[in-house]
Amino acid sequence: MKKLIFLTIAVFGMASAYAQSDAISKYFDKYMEDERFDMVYISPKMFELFASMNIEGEDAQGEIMDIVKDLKGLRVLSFEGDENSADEALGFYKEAKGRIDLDSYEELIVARDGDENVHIMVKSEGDIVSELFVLIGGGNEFTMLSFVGNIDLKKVGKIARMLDIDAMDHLEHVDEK
Amino acid sequence: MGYPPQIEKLLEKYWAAETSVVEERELRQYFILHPEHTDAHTAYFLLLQEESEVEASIRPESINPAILRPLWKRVVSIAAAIALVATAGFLIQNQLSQNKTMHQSAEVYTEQDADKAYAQAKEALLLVSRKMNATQSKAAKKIHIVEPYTTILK
Repeated sequence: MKKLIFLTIAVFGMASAYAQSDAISKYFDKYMEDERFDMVYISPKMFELFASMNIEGEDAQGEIMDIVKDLKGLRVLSFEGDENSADEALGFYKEAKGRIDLDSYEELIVARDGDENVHIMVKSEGDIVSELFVLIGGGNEFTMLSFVGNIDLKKVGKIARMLDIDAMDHLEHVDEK
Repeated sequence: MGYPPQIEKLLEKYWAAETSVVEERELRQYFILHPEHTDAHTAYFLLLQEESEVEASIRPESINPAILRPLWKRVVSIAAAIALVATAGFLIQNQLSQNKTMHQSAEVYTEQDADKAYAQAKEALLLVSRKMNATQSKAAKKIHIVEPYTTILK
Protein backbone atom coordinates (compact mmCIF):
# COMPACT_ATOMS: atom_id res chain seq x y z
CA MET A 1 0.00 0.00 0.00
CA LYS A 2 2.85 2.39 0.87
CA LYS A 3 4.45 1.69 -2.51
CA LEU A 4 1.16 2.52 -4.18
CA ILE A 5 0.87 5.84 -2.32
CA PHE A 6 4.45 6.83 -3.24
CA LEU A 7 3.83 5.82 -6.83
CA THR A 8 0.65 7.88 -7.01
CA ILE A 9 2.37 10.92 -5.46
CA ALA A 10 5.25 10.54 -7.95
CA VAL A 11 2.87 10.37 -10.91
CA PHE A 12 0.88 13.40 -9.75
CA GLY A 13 4.12 15.30 -9.02
CA MET A 14 5.41 14.53 -12.48
CA ALA A 15 2.10 15.48 -14.05
CA SER A 16 1.86 18.84 -12.25
CA ALA A 17 5.49 19.74 -13.03
CA TYR A 18 4.91 18.80 -16.62
CA ALA A 19 1.64 20.73 -16.75
CA GLN A 20 3.48 23.87 -15.67
CA SER A 21 6.32 23.62 -18.18
CA ASP A 22 3.74 22.66 -20.75
CA ALA A 23 1.79 25.88 -20.12
CA ILE A 24 4.83 27.91 -21.23
CA SER A 25 5.45 25.59 -24.19
CA LYS A 26 1.82 25.80 -25.26
CA TYR A 27 1.98 29.58 -25.18
CA PHE A 28 5.12 29.54 -27.33
CA ASP A 29 3.56 26.92 -29.62
CA LYS A 30 0.38 28.97 -30.02
CA TYR A 31 2.20 31.96 -31.49
CA MET A 32 5.03 30.08 -33.16
CA GLU A 33 3.45 30.31 -36.62
CA ASP A 34 2.08 33.81 -36.06
CA GLU A 35 3.99 36.23 -38.25
CA ARG A 36 3.35 39.14 -35.92
CA PHE A 37 5.73 37.47 -33.46
CA ASP A 38 9.49 37.01 -33.54
CA MET A 39 10.40 33.64 -32.17
CA VAL A 40 13.78 32.30 -31.09
CA TYR A 41 14.57 28.86 -29.78
CA ILE A 42 18.15 27.92 -28.96
CA SER A 43 18.56 24.27 -28.18
CA PRO A 44 20.79 22.66 -25.53
CA LYS A 45 22.96 21.33 -28.37
CA MET A 46 23.62 24.86 -29.59
CA PHE A 47 24.55 25.99 -26.09
CA GLU A 48 27.07 23.13 -26.01
CA LEU A 49 28.56 24.52 -29.24
CA PHE A 50 28.91 27.98 -27.72
CA ALA A 51 31.28 26.56 -25.12
CA SER A 52 33.71 25.55 -27.87
CA MET A 53 33.53 28.93 -29.63
CA ASN A 54 36.41 31.38 -29.53
CA ILE A 55 34.86 34.61 -28.37
CA GLU A 56 37.08 37.66 -28.38
CA GLY A 57 36.18 41.20 -27.54
CA GLU A 58 35.53 43.49 -24.61
CA ASP A 59 35.77 42.34 -20.97
CA ALA A 60 31.99 41.86 -20.84
CA GLN A 61 32.26 39.20 -23.55
CA GLY A 62 34.12 36.92 -21.16
CA GLU A 63 31.42 37.43 -18.56
CA ILE A 64 28.69 36.70 -21.11
CA MET A 65 30.46 33.52 -22.14
CA ASP A 66 30.67 32.51 -18.48
CA ILE A 67 26.88 32.76 -18.24
CA VAL A 68 26.16 31.20 -21.62
CA LYS A 69 28.26 28.07 -21.04
CA ASP A 70 26.02 27.12 -18.12
CA LEU A 71 22.77 27.61 -20.07
CA LYS A 72 20.78 24.73 -21.51
CA GLY A 73 18.07 26.47 -23.52
CA LEU A 74 16.49 29.76 -24.51
CA ARG A 75 13.07 30.60 -25.87
CA VAL A 76 12.05 34.11 -26.83
CA LEU A 77 8.70 35.26 -28.10
CA SER A 78 8.32 38.93 -28.89
CA PHE A 79 5.75 41.17 -30.47
CA GLU A 80 6.33 44.71 -31.64
CA GLY A 81 3.32 46.43 -33.13
CA ASP A 82 2.68 49.92 -34.42
CA GLU A 83 1.32 52.82 -32.36
CA ASN A 84 -2.21 51.36 -32.63
CA SER A 85 -1.20 47.98 -31.18
CA ALA A 86 -1.15 48.93 -27.50
CA ASP A 87 -4.34 46.97 -26.71
CA GLU A 88 -3.11 43.97 -28.65
CA ALA A 89 0.25 43.97 -26.82
CA LEU A 90 -1.48 44.34 -23.46
CA GLY A 91 -3.80 41.46 -24.41
CA PHE A 92 -0.81 39.16 -25.10
CA TYR A 93 0.76 40.18 -21.80
CA LYS A 94 -2.43 39.51 -19.85
CA GLU A 95 -2.99 36.20 -21.64
CA ALA A 96 0.53 35.03 -20.75
CA LYS A 97 0.07 36.08 -17.12
CA GLY A 98 -3.24 34.23 -16.94
CA ARG A 99 -2.09 31.10 -18.68
CA ILE A 100 1.17 30.55 -16.85
CA ASP A 101 1.09 29.61 -13.19
CA LEU A 102 3.28 32.41 -11.88
CA ASP A 103 2.93 31.05 -8.33
CA SER A 104 5.39 28.31 -9.23
CA TYR A 105 8.08 30.97 -9.71
CA GLU A 106 9.76 33.21 -7.18
CA GLU A 107 9.35 36.84 -8.10
CA LEU A 108 12.66 38.60 -8.52
CA ILE A 109 11.51 41.93 -9.92
CA VAL A 110 8.01 43.25 -10.58
CA ALA A 111 8.10 46.79 -11.90
CA ARG A 112 6.03 49.25 -13.86
CA ASP A 113 7.81 51.96 -15.78
CA GLY A 114 5.23 54.21 -17.42
CA ASP A 115 3.02 51.85 -19.35
CA GLU A 116 5.60 49.04 -19.35
CA ASN A 117 5.22 46.12 -16.97
CA VAL A 118 8.25 43.99 -16.16
CA HIS A 119 8.10 40.64 -14.38
CA ILE A 120 11.38 38.85 -13.77
CA MET A 121 10.88 35.50 -12.09
CA VAL A 122 13.08 32.57 -11.21
CA LYS A 123 12.71 28.91 -10.48
CA SER A 124 15.41 27.77 -8.09
CA GLU A 125 16.54 24.58 -6.42
CA GLY A 126 18.43 25.61 -3.30
CA ASP A 127 20.93 28.29 -4.33
CA ILE A 128 20.88 27.29 -7.98
CA VAL A 129 18.59 29.22 -10.31
CA SER A 130 17.37 26.73 -12.90
CA GLU A 131 15.05 29.00 -14.88
CA LEU A 132 14.89 32.71 -15.49
CA PHE A 133 11.52 33.72 -16.85
CA VAL A 134 10.80 37.25 -18.05
CA LEU A 135 7.54 38.86 -19.11
CA ILE A 136 7.59 42.40 -20.48
CA GLY A 137 4.43 44.07 -21.68
CA GLY A 138 3.46 47.62 -22.39
CA GLY A 139 3.27 50.31 -25.01
CA ASN A 140 2.98 48.38 -28.23
CA GLU A 141 5.41 45.60 -27.24
CA PHE A 142 5.26 42.25 -25.59
CA THR A 143 8.23 39.98 -24.80
CA MET A 144 8.34 36.64 -23.08
CA LEU A 145 11.62 34.82 -22.59
CA SER A 146 12.78 31.83 -20.68
CA PHE A 147 16.37 30.83 -19.94
CA VAL A 148 16.94 27.32 -18.64
CA GLY A 149 20.16 26.05 -17.11
CA ASN A 150 22.37 27.02 -14.22
CA ILE A 151 21.96 30.79 -14.04
CA ASP A 152 24.13 33.16 -12.04
CA LEU A 153 21.92 36.21 -11.44
CA LYS A 154 24.80 38.37 -10.21
CA LYS A 155 26.63 37.87 -13.48
CA VAL A 156 23.46 38.54 -15.49
CA GLY A 157 22.98 41.84 -13.65
CA LYS A 158 26.64 42.75 -14.17
CA ILE A 159 26.93 42.36 -17.96
CA ALA A 160 24.79 45.39 -18.90
CA ARG A 161 26.85 47.61 -16.58
CA MET A 162 30.10 46.18 -17.98
CA LEU A 163 28.98 46.65 -21.59
CA ASP A 164 27.89 50.22 -20.85
CA ILE A 165 31.35 50.93 -19.33
CA ASP A 166 33.02 49.28 -22.35
CA ALA A 167 30.94 51.49 -24.64
CA MET A 168 31.90 54.62 -22.66
CA ASP A 169 35.62 53.68 -22.85
CA HIS A 170 35.27 53.13 -26.57
CA LEU A 171 33.68 56.58 -26.98
CA GLU A 172 36.47 58.18 -24.93
CA HIS A 173 39.09 56.57 -27.21
CA VAL A 174 37.20 57.82 -30.27
CA ASP A 175 37.22 61.35 -28.79
CA GLU A 176 40.98 61.12 -28.13
CA LYS A 177 41.57 60.20 -31.76
CA MET B 1 -30.99 -51.77 14.38
CA GLY B 2 -34.30 -49.91 14.76
CA TYR B 3 -34.90 -46.23 15.38
CA PRO B 4 -36.57 -44.74 18.43
CA PRO B 5 -40.37 -44.32 17.91
CA GLN B 6 -40.13 -40.54 17.68
CA ILE B 7 -37.58 -40.81 14.84
CA GLU B 8 -39.65 -43.47 13.10
CA LYS B 9 -42.60 -41.07 13.16
CA LEU B 10 -40.52 -38.20 11.86
CA LEU B 11 -39.17 -40.41 9.05
CA GLU B 12 -42.68 -41.31 8.02
CA LYS B 13 -43.67 -37.63 8.02
CA TYR B 14 -40.47 -36.73 6.15
CA TRP B 15 -41.11 -39.17 3.27
CA ALA B 16 -44.72 -37.95 3.16
CA ALA B 17 -43.27 -34.43 2.78
CA GLU B 18 -45.06 -33.22 5.89
CA THR B 19 -42.12 -32.29 8.15
CA SER B 20 -41.32 -28.76 9.22
CA VAL B 21 -37.84 -27.21 8.92
CA VAL B 22 -37.27 -27.79 12.64
CA GLU B 23 -38.25 -31.45 12.34
CA GLU B 24 -35.93 -31.96 9.36
CA ARG B 25 -33.10 -30.40 11.35
CA GLU B 26 -33.93 -32.77 14.25
CA LEU B 27 -33.68 -35.75 11.92
CA ARG B 28 -30.30 -34.63 10.57
CA GLN B 29 -29.01 -34.05 14.10
CA TYR B 30 -30.09 -37.53 15.11
CA PHE B 31 -28.24 -39.25 12.28
CA ILE B 32 -25.11 -37.13 12.94
CA LEU B 33 -25.14 -38.09 16.61
CA HIS B 34 -25.88 -41.77 15.86
CA PRO B 35 -23.47 -42.88 13.17
CA GLU B 36 -23.87 -46.52 14.34
CA HIS B 37 -26.80 -46.79 11.90
CA THR B 38 -25.31 -47.85 8.60
CA ASP B 39 -28.43 -47.87 6.49
CA ALA B 40 -29.58 -45.70 3.62
CA HIS B 41 -31.31 -43.19 5.95
CA THR B 42 -28.04 -42.40 7.71
CA ALA B 43 -26.17 -41.97 4.43
CA TYR B 44 -28.92 -39.76 3.04
CA PHE B 45 -29.17 -37.40 6.03
CA LEU B 46 -25.39 -37.15 6.43
CA LEU B 47 -25.17 -36.15 2.76
CA LEU B 48 -27.84 -33.48 3.29
CA GLN B 49 -25.90 -32.15 6.27
CA GLU B 50 -22.67 -32.00 4.27
CA GLU B 51 -24.38 -30.13 1.42
CA SER B 52 -25.91 -27.60 3.80
CA GLU B 53 -22.44 -27.01 5.31
CA VAL B 54 -20.96 -26.42 1.84
CA GLU B 55 -23.78 -23.98 1.00
CA ALA B 56 -23.22 -22.14 4.27
CA SER B 57 -19.51 -21.79 3.60
CA ILE B 58 -20.02 -19.94 0.31
CA ARG B 59 -22.52 -17.38 1.61
CA PRO B 60 -21.15 -13.82 1.11
CA GLU B 61 -21.26 -13.00 4.83
CA SER B 62 -19.13 -16.06 5.58
CA ILE B 63 -16.32 -14.93 3.22
CA ASN B 64 -13.33 -13.82 5.21
CA PRO B 65 -12.50 -10.14 4.39
CA ALA B 66 -8.83 -11.04 4.79
CA ILE B 67 -9.15 -13.26 1.70
CA LEU B 68 -10.92 -10.53 -0.28
CA ARG B 69 -8.42 -7.76 0.52
CA PRO B 70 -5.50 -9.10 -1.51
CA LEU B 71 -7.80 -9.32 -4.53
CA TRP B 72 -8.81 -5.67 -4.07
CA LYS B 73 -5.17 -4.71 -3.67
CA ARG B 74 -4.23 -6.56 -6.82
CA VAL B 75 -6.96 -4.81 -8.84
CA VAL B 76 -5.90 -1.36 -7.57
CA SER B 77 -2.21 -2.13 -8.19
CA ILE B 78 -2.93 -3.19 -11.76
CA ALA B 79 -5.05 -0.06 -12.32
CA ALA B 80 -2.31 2.15 -10.82
CA ALA B 81 0.35 0.48 -12.98
CA ILE B 82 -1.76 1.01 -16.12
CA ALA B 83 -2.35 4.67 -15.14
CA LEU B 84 1.38 5.13 -14.52
CA VAL B 85 2.41 3.63 -17.84
CA ALA B 86 -0.28 5.64 -19.66
CA THR B 87 0.80 8.89 -17.96
CA ALA B 88 4.48 8.25 -18.66
CA GLY B 89 3.67 7.41 -22.28
CA PHE B 90 1.59 10.56 -22.65
CA LEU B 91 4.34 12.73 -21.15
CA ILE B 92 7.07 11.26 -23.33
CA GLN B 93 4.96 11.51 -26.48
CA ASN B 94 4.00 15.08 -25.68
CA GLN B 95 7.60 16.05 -24.96
CA LEU B 96 8.77 14.46 -28.21
CA SER B 97 6.10 16.18 -30.28
CA GLN B 98 6.84 19.48 -28.53
CA ASN B 99 10.56 19.20 -29.28
CA LYS B 100 9.72 18.24 -32.83
CA THR B 101 7.49 21.27 -33.42
CA MET B 102 10.05 23.52 -31.75
CA HIS B 103 12.75 22.24 -34.06
CA GLN B 104 10.56 22.38 -37.13
CA SER B 105 8.96 25.78 -36.73
CA ALA B 106 11.15 27.91 -34.52
CA GLU B 107 14.27 29.68 -35.52
CA VAL B 108 16.58 26.68 -35.22
CA TYR B 109 20.28 26.98 -35.90
CA THR B 110 22.75 24.63 -37.45
CA GLU B 111 26.38 24.60 -36.36
CA GLN B 112 27.18 27.25 -39.01
CA ASP B 113 24.67 29.56 -37.41
CA ALA B 114 26.35 29.38 -34.00
CA ASP B 115 27.51 32.99 -34.21
CA LYS B 116 24.02 34.20 -34.99
CA ALA B 117 22.52 32.10 -32.18
CA TYR B 118 25.17 33.36 -29.76
CA ALA B 119 24.26 36.93 -30.72
CA GLN B 120 20.57 36.16 -30.03
CA ALA B 121 21.40 34.65 -26.63
CA LYS B 122 23.60 37.64 -25.81
CA GLU B 123 20.87 40.06 -26.84
CA ALA B 124 18.33 38.27 -24.64
CA LEU B 125 20.75 38.27 -21.71
CA LEU B 126 21.42 41.96 -22.18
CA LEU B 127 17.72 42.74 -22.28
CA VAL B 128 17.24 40.98 -18.93
CA SER B 129 20.37 42.56 -17.48
CA ARG B 130 19.27 46.07 -18.56
CA LYS B 131 15.79 45.56 -17.10
CA MET B 132 17.32 44.34 -13.82
CA ASN B 133 19.64 47.34 -13.63
CA ALA B 134 16.94 49.83 -14.64
CA THR B 135 14.56 48.71 -11.91
CA GLN B 136 17.37 48.57 -9.34
CA SER B 137 18.57 52.11 -10.10
CA LYS B 138 14.97 53.33 -10.07
CA ALA B 139 14.43 51.73 -6.66
CA ALA B 140 17.69 53.27 -5.43
CA LYS B 141 16.50 56.75 -6.55
CA LYS B 142 13.20 56.27 -4.69
CA ILE B 143 15.06 55.27 -1.53
CA HIS B 144 17.19 58.38 -1.93
CA ILE B 145 14.01 60.53 -2.04
CA VAL B 146 12.44 58.78 0.96
CA GLU B 147 15.62 58.76 3.09
CA PRO B 148 15.41 62.38 4.48
CA TYR B 149 11.85 61.71 5.68
CA THR B 150 12.85 58.49 7.43
CA THR B 151 15.55 60.41 9.37
CA ILE B 152 12.95 63.06 10.37
CA LEU B 153 10.55 60.34 11.55
CA LYS B 154 13.25 58.82 13.72
